[in-house]
Amino acid sequence: MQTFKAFYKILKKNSISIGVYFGIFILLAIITTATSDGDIPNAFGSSNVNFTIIDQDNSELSKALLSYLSKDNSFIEFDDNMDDIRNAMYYRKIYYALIIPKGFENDIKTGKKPKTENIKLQDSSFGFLFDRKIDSYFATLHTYLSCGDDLNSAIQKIEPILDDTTKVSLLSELQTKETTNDYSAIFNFYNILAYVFVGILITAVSPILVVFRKKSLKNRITISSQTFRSHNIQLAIGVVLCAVITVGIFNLIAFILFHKDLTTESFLLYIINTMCFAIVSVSLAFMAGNLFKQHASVLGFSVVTPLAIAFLGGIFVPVSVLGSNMQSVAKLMPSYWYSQTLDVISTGTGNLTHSLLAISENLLIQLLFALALFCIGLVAAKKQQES
Amino acid sequence: MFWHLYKNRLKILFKNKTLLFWNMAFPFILGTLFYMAFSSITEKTESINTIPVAITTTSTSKVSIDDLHNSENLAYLFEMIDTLSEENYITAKEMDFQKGEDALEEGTITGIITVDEKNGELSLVVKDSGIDQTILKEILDTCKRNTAVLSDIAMSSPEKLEQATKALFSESSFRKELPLSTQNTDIYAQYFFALIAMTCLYGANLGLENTKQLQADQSIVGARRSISPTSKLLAVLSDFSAALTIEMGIYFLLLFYLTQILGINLGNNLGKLILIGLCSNMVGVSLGYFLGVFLKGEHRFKESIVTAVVLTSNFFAGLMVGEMKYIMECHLPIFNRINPAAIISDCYQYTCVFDDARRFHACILSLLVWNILLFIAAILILRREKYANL
Repeated sequence: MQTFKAFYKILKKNSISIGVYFGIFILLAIITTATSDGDIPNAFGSSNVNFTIIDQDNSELSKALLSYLSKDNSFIEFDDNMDDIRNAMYYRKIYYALIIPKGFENDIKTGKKPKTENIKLQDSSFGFLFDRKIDSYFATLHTYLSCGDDLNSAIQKIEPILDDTTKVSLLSELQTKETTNDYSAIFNFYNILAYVFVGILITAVSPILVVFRKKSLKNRITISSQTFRSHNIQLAIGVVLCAVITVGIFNLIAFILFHKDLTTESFLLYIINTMCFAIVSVSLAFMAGNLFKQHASVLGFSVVTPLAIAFLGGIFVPVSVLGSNMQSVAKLMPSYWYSQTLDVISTGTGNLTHSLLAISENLLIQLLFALALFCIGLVAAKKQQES
Repeated sequence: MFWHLYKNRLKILFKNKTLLFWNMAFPFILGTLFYMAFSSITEKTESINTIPVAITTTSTSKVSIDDLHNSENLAYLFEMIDTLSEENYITAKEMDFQKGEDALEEGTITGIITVDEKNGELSLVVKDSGIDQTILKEILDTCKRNTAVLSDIAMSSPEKLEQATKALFSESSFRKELPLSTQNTDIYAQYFFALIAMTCLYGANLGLENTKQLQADQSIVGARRSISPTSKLLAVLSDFSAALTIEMGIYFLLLFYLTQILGINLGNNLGKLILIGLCSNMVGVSLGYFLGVFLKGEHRFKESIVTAVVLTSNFFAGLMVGEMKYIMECHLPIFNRINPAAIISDCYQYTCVFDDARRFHACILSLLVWNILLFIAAILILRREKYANL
C-alpha cells in the first residue's frame, strides 16, 4: 500500500487549503441560511416592502398616511438625514422614502395643493407601487375635501374604503407550497455544497496526481516491484475515499442540522445527488491533475473553477434571475443539474412519478458530465505520456 | 541608477507568472463572473416591466366577455388599464377563464382579473406572490376605491357627484420626486467596487515579492543586494515605483475592461478614477512592504498572511457579501473608516453613485494616511535590519 500511504501523506500537506474551503463553507452556510427568506420583498405574499416616512409635519394627516402605508408594508424609522436614507436605499434596506414637509396639513386645510417629496429607486416596481398607493390615498381624500368635508371627517371616511381591498386567490395550493419552500435552509445548505465539493476535491486530489506524474517519481515507480495495476488501483482507492469522506462529512452535518425537517426519502435523494456531484468533482480533479504540470497552475484552477461553476450554474445566484443568454450557458454547467435536482427534491413537481423521473434525468446528466471530464483527463494523460 | 534598478525590477516582476495570474488574470475572471451572474438581477427583480394580464368574467359565455367594455361598472377599470397600457406598464387581453388559467399556468400572463357577472365585483387570480401581482392588486384596489367613493357620495349628496368625479380623476399630483442619485444606483455595482479594491490591494503581493529580494535572510538576491553599495532607500524607491507601475497598468486595464467591454458604469470623472487608483495601489504595495519586513518567517508564510489580510479586508468591503459594508456601517462604522478595501470602495461610491466631494476627499485622505504609515513603518524596520549570520 505504498502508493496509498504516499497519497495520504501528500493530502495531509494540503490539509490547510482544504480547511480553508471548509471554513468558507461554514461562513457561506451561515450567511445563506440566515438570509434564506431573501431580501427582495415578496410583496404579495408577505407584503413587506420596506419604506420610511420623514414626518416633518407631525400632523393627523401624516399619521393617517403612515398608518395606511404601514398596513401592507414595513415602516423603517430613520432620522431626518438624507445621507443615511440614500445609503439605506442604495443598499436596498428601504425601497421608498416619503418626506412630508412642515405645514403640509395646514396647506391642505386651506385648499392649497402642497406636495410630499419622495426618493425611490428609479424605474423600480416598488417605487411604482408606492406612487400609486400615495396617489390613490390623496385622490380619495381630495374627493371628499372637494365635496365640503373637513379634513378629519375626510380621513375617517376614507379609512374603511382604503381597508376594503380586492380578493386575490392563487391558482392552486400546490404552487403556493412550491414558492415558500424554494429557498429553505436545507436547499441553501445543499446548494452551496456544489461550490465546496469542487473546491475541496480539486484542492485535495489534483496536486497529488501532479506529484505522481513527476518524471523522477514516475521513473522510480516504474522500476519498483509494484505493478502499474496495483499503483493505479491504490490511487483510485485514495481518490474514491476522499470523495466518500467528503460526501459523508457534509451529509452528516446536514443530518445533525436538519434531522427534524428531513424525511428518510428526501435525505436519501440528497445523499444520492451529492454522491453524483462528488463524482463530477472527482472527474474535474482528475482532469486538472492530468492537464497541469505545475502546482501553481492547479492552485489557480482550484480557485477559479469552483467560482465559475457556482456563479454560472445557479449556485450563488438563482438561475431564474440570470439573463436569458446566461440561462442557456448555465445548462452547460454540471452544477445547474445538481441544483435542479435539489429543486425537485425540495419542492417536488406535484407528482411523485414526475419528480422521480426529473431527478433521474438530472442525475444521469451529471454522470454524463463526469464521464466527459474523465475522458478529457484520460486524453490529457495519454498525451503527456506520449510527449 | 534609479532607472536601472526600476527597469530591472519591472522585468523581474513581469516574469513572475504566478504573481501576474493572481494580480491581473484573477480580477478579470472574477469581474467577468460577476458580470455574467449579476447583470440581469436588478432588471429582473426590481425594474418595472410591462405586466401581461387577462380580463375575464365568471361566466364562460362569449357574450359576457364582449360586453365587458360596455359595462358601466368597469368604465374606471378600462380607463385605467388604457392609460397604463399607453405608458407600457400593463398589457391586457380579454379571454375566457379557462384560457386565462392556461396562460397563467404557462407563465405568459401574471394574473387574471375576474369580473363577477352578477355584481361587477373585481377579483384577481395569480399563480404566485410577487411585486407584479401586488401592482395588479393595487390597480384593482384603486378601481374598487373609486367606485366606493363615488357610490358613497352619490348616496349622501348626489348633487356633488359631478364635482367629486372631477376631483377624483383630476390629474393633480401630491408628489414631488427627489433624485436618489444622478448616476449608478445598481446595488451590484458594489461588487465591482470591491473587486477593484481587491485588485489594488493585491499590489501587496508585488510589495512582498520586492521585500523578499531586499532582505538578506529571504533570498540570495536579497543577500547580494544587502551588501551592494547601492543606497537602500534608492533600491526601495525604485522597486516600489516598478511595482506601482505594474499595478497602475493592471488598474487601467481593469477599468477599461469593466467600463468599455462589460459596460459597468463607473462614472465619467477620469481624474478622480486616476487619483483613486494611484492612492489605492500605493496602499496595496505599501501593505506588502510592511508585512514583508514586519513578519518573520518563510516567504510562503508571509504570502499566506498577505492573502488573508487582503481577502479579510475585502470581505468586509463587500466582495463576497455585497451588503457587508453596510452592515459594518450600521454596527461598527469606525471599521469602515480604517478598512483599506472599504475606503477604496467608498471612493467609488462617492464618485459613481453619490457625487459627494467632501466624503470622497476624506476617503482619499485616509488612503494617503494609510500609505504614509505603512511605507514609513516598512522603511524604519528595513533600515535597522542586521544579520548575525545567514
